[in-house]
Amino acid sequence: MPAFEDAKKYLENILNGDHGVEGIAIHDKDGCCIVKVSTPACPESAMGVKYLSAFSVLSDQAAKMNMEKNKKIFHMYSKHQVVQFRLDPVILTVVAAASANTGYLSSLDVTLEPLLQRLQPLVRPH
Amino acid sequence: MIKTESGGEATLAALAMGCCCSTESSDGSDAGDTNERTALLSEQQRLTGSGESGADPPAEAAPRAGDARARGDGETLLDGILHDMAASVIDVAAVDTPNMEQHDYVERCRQYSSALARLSAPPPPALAFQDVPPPLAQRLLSEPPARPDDVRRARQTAERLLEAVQAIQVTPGESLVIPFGQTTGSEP
Repeated sequence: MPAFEDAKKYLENILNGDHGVEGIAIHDKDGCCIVKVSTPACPESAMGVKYLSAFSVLSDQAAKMNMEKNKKIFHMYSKHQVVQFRLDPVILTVVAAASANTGYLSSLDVTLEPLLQRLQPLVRPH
Repeated sequence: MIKTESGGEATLAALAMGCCCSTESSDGSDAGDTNERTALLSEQQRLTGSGESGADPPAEAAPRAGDARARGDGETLLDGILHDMAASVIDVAAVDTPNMEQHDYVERCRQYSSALARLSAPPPPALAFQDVPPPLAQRLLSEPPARPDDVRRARQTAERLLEAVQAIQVTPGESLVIPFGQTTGSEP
């Protein structure tokens, strides 16, 4: 596991990596952010509690489709795209431009796995 | 009046009493009498919905323990059905339900930020062993050694303390294990 001084700096490196990523939030199922970084281009509503907390409900409902547990949800909008990962007990939300590489975004959970492993113990079941 | 084969006459009421009294939905059960012909299965069938139509449940037909058990099983079954239905129903309207209050949200965000700050901080120094910086180490090593009398007195004190600790013994006043069923002074 690589050592890093600050989780925010670690995420900002990805933001500045010219992949079209506009915002990254690691939060719990109720939408409380553990760490959140965003650029001015990121819409504020996509980083709000209401939007972030909706994922856990959507994921639970999606699990009733007889396709077992839901792992990721991709939201495609006209100007943005949002990818949300279910990594119990944390949730990873990535907001990017509509022209960003969705395949790169879908692999960010693997890229951020060291950080997520360190943050998961911080979230206690509420 | 009905004429029988033997030539006697019998009334319909007499025939009913002799031949038609052993049915599950008989009117005699409404009076509350419990007899050897009282059906226990009818109570369970009624609870599971496969009972006979139009049959009123008898007032005190089944035994009290069986009635309570059947009611408990029915409630458990109903709870299981409700739980399965709630787990399988897709409720899209649940997305709008607010989960947390504002002060709870603020408090939890504060906890997360403090936990994250502790995570990012350098690890605390080990309390058991610490490296002595070279200037301090030189000063300590350049001081005169301890006097032999002090060393001997410290060693003797430590030996006496060790003997005292080893001499600690537990002497029970009475038997700690009492055979089951027997008390110390009374009849079992």
